[in-house]
Amino acid sequence: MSPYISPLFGVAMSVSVLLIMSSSHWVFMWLGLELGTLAFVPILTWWHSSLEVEATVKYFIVQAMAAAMFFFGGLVSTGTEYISSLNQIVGNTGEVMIMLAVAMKLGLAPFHYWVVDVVQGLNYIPGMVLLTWQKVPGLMVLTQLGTTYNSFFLLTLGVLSPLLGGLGGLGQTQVRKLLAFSSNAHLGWLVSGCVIGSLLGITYFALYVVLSLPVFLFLHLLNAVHLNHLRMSLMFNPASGMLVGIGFLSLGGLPPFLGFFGKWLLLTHLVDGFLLGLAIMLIVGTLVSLFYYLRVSYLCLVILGPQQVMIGLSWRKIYMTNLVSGMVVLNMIGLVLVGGVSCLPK
Amino acid sequence: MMTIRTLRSPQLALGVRVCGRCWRHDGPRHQRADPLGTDGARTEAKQEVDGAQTAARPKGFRTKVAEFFRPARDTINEVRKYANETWTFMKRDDLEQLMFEDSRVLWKFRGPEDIDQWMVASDKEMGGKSEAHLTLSENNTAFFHGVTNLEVPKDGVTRYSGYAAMRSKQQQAAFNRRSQMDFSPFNVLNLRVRGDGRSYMITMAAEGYFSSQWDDLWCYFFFTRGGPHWQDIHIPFSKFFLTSKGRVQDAQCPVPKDRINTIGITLGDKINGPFELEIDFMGVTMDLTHKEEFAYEQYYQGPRRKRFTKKPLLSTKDW
Repeated sequence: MSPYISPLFGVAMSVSVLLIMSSSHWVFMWLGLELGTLAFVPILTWWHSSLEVEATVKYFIVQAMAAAMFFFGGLVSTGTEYISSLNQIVGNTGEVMIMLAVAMKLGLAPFHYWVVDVVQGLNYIPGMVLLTWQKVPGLMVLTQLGTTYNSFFLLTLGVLSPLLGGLGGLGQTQVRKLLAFSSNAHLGWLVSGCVIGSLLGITYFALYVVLSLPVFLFLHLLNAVHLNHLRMSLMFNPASGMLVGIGFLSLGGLPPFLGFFGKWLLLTHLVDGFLLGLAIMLIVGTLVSLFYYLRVSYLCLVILGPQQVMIGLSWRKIYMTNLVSGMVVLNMIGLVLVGGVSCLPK
Repeated sequence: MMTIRTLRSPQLALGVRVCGRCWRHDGPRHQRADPLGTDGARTEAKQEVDGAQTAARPKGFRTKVAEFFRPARDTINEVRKYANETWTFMKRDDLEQLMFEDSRVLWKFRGPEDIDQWMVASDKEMGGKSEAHLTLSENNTAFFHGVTNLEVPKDGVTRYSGYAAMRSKQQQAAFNRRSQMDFSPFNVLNLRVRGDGRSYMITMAAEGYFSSQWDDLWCYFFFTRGGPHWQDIHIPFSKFFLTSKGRVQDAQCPVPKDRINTIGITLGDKINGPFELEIDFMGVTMDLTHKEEFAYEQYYQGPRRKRFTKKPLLSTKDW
């Protein structure tokens, strides 16, 4: 790809998010979603390998189908209610179609199977962008779908995601598929947070991005695609191996890491709102996914490789670890940051 | 005396003893599955006759009902198979082995059941004269043998001939889906063979999403010594090169180790004559000392970034 064109795609993706954030008309939201999809597709095929092209085609087909459903839903809403603003639409077929389309775009259960196949075919960097940044447009649209009927529907999908994400990742040995199912599980929490309050959803999303970025980057640096490779990470590069293990513990929502506080925040609001059933279902789903998070952490932190080799050799050191390590350390000072903030008098 | 029995069979009226089940032939009453009453001893010819007679016989109501519900029964069986596969995958009893293994034996040819997992092909399918067989040797190993013949069949289309191949059978999952093998924890393919001095080729077929990828094969050669001693062959996955329909591709890429459909051995060294290859086992290993990811040049697709360097005002290059 030409080095002069590639920044354009990044700019287009940012513009798509800004377009969605600043508009309430469904046509411009659709435009923003499509712009984001079309700008992201060339980034997926950056390395031009057959696996990445396959993943890109699958991604494009699903996104195009969802966009078509979104547009059709908007037309139905406008045709039946003569209202074009999403905020004012009171639950109808068109709105349900729009919600389903956004769920498909995000990879929310039960439309989550494409995420696994697509992420498996990509490298870690585009996969990271897919699972973090590409969620923003869909979440922006979801925060504007705010009627009672839609809340129940969205919360149902939100409850299903952690369960299916947990069950799907149980038998996985491919790390990328595991991360896809993990992302699906977190998406359930995200959507529940967005339904309850937009600020809550944004906070949880920010925490999820901070947790995920170092995990993806370290896995990319370790070039680990299978659990067996993580087993040997402690031998090749103990610092990165340990930080990946801590990152996965944080993703699993274990205290005192940062990942726990996102869930704690959401659970507090759910209990305050007497949504105990939803809280219990989310916790059950998280417990299931905690099983494979602990498995990965066990491999990274406890198991030593087959050979005891000098770890101080220069060729074993990998570059660009300072920034990433700092982000992982943030996991461990989450107790200070978030716990201290929450203890402040109201 | 006319009775109901005599009305059913005229033979009875004549005093001939007939079968009380079908009333069609004389002799003792036959079992339900043996209408000809041969006491269970059926010859092949009789089976053919029975088959023809069965086919010609109009189908009974029970048969028609069974045939009507057969697709539903097959679907239910496939659903059960799929549920069983999903449960086995989630339970994952082999997870500890998968997480901690450094090597795995794929095929250890010790009995007919191991040989049955492979199939053999040669140019005989196209009209050629090569022959290939895969049997169990007296040492309890796989014995791939036959004759390669370079004579081109005279069909006006085929230009080359003389190959023999053995390939593992495609593993099937529920609903006739293809099941792949996952070699991503490993980086070396191991073989223990004893050959005849000829050159063979290991081929691996991966699952392709597009139809243009369905003929993709990753290949590498191995050379046999021809002596009585066994050879241990180690081929890293990084050495396999991509071919499609027998042609080496310009745009090379490494083997997608997580979606291998079949592994095969091919002989096509343009030599007329017999061949013999004995295979003890095939396996994969993780070799920590092997750091190479891919051995072949990959063409960069797209314009490269130009380095902006200051050119001197007076350059001797322009003279």
